[in-house]
Amino acid sequence: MPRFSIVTPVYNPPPKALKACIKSVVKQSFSDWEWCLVNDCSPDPRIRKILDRWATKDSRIRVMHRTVNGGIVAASQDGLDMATGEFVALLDHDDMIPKRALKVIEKELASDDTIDYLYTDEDKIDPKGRHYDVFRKPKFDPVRLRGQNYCTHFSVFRNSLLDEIGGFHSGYDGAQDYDLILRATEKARKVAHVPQILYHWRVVPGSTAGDVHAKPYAYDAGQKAVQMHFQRKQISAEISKLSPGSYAHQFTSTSSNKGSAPLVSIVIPTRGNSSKVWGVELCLVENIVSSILKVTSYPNFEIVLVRDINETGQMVYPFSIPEDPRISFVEYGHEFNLARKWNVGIVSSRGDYVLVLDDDTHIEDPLWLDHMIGQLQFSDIGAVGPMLLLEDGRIGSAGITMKPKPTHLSHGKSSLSDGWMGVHSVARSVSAISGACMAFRRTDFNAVGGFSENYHVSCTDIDFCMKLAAQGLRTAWTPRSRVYHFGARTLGATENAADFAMLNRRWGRFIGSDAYARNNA
Amino acid sequence: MSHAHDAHGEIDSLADLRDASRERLLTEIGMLRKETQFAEFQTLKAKYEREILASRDAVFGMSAELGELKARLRTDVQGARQSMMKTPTWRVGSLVLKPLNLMKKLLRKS
Repeated sequence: MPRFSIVTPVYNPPPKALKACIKSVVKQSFSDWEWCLVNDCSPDPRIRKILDRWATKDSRIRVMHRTVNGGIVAASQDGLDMATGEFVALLDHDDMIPKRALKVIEKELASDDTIDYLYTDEDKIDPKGRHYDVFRKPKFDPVRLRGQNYCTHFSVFRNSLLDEIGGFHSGYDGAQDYDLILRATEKARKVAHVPQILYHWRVVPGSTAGDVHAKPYAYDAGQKAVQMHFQRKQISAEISKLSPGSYAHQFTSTSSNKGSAPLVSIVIPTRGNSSKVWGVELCLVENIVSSILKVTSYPNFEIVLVRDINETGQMVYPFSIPEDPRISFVEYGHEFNLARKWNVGIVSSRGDYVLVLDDDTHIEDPLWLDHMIGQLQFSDIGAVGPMLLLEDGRIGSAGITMKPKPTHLSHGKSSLSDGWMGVHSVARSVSAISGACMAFRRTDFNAVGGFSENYHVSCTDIDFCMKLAAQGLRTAWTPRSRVYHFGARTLGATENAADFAMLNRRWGRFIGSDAYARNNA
Repeated sequence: MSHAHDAHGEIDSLADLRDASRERLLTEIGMLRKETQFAEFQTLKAKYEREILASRDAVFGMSAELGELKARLRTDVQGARQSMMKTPTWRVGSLVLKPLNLMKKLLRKS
């Protein structure tokens, strides 16, 4: 039994590209492989000749000529049926892999017996053989995978896992690999990522690599694959298409009615002061409370305002909030400590889900809360943050990266563009998110000891995400939910040397690198 | 029995209580006491909850700091090892031992 079976469905590729593909495989420095090539009735007779010639040249190359054209799913499944190797690697008929590819992958697989699925970085090659569009991928991120097939090439599966999940399913032509990866990662004991470019995706006229609009049917099949993934996860959501290759999900289970929607406690610490926003002087907390009450479509929430009082028990900056049974107040008379204010507000709240929100924020999107609470239906997600927008509509924060030091991702970039490899258009995992708007489960909050009051001004949100990560819970960021954050209006600059030193003392080993934000993609 | 509190626990009218019976007044006092006790209990509960949170955070913090110290120790040891291997003593020593190590390898193979 060979270590690797490479599976390649072949349908009328340019003969030159096919030859280059074959040469890239036979030159591999790791030799324990077989190659299952399935010719799906290519009309060009040269294809058959090339395949047969190589099959006689190298006994590891096995060719099957289908008698009828069955399409890419049927041909790929025939290839899987031929595969006898321990691992199956999927290679397209006109792409190439570097000489070291299988050797590097073998080394990674040998390091851990539980790896059931592995993917690598990739780039593209133009018709002249020039390499471009290097895609340095993040470590395995199921959140992002639900929005786009970022794993794609080079994908290597344990053969027994493919048997278990039933191989390729029909009806997913053009997105059969996306469907397979979704199903495989649901069952895999471990998913590994090799951060090296071990696949060159050839751009030929009419291929998806060159034009994402080339195969609209593949886009529909991808939507179906994501829909089925949510069904298997038993999470109710409607999947819609974004830019080709990217998909959005609208959770439907959280927003159906008040009876079934869990209570969300929105905790807002405030001094009650005013500031100029969009040219108008307004009381920040009055503005955010009114925007929440006005636009939020989520049916079951309460607002807990943690307001500052002075020694005489009076509000520091008096403000007025409309009477509403959903609003309650907690008084805070200690010296400023953001973590403590959050903790005080949260222990006084009742919801199964909690969302901490700065008072210098503004909501315009009715579904902002649905998108965030919806993500928390996935048990591996511990905290969720929205796309924070600056006053002028540019991105304020698309999550927090730890490289080279804790910094807001995509700060100052356009919120209207999809970003590199669609990074601004789909939800994904990040190392941390801003406490300006962060949702989580109360049970997880209690389990990790809430927000650490050892921090006074900043970094307690990052520390919280780190504690969740230590519990095996990921932090997710979703661009579907958008919240304006006017930024540190209450206190001025939030950088604090003592707080950063504290963060470094606890989590310094994670500062300086970020597996979720390599090249911001 | 009706009492002077409305749905929110506020007394509707003090005049209503002026001519109330002793039994009624005792009931009202009992209710007020319960409400006060409940508020005190809530405050106390919140305080203890925060103390539990702080204890858990301290445990997480200590565990994180221990992990950090271990990581730094590992880096320091690696650094020290690398700088030791760059010293002339180490280089000369490995040069001297090279033939010996080669012989050892050959003997093992044979």
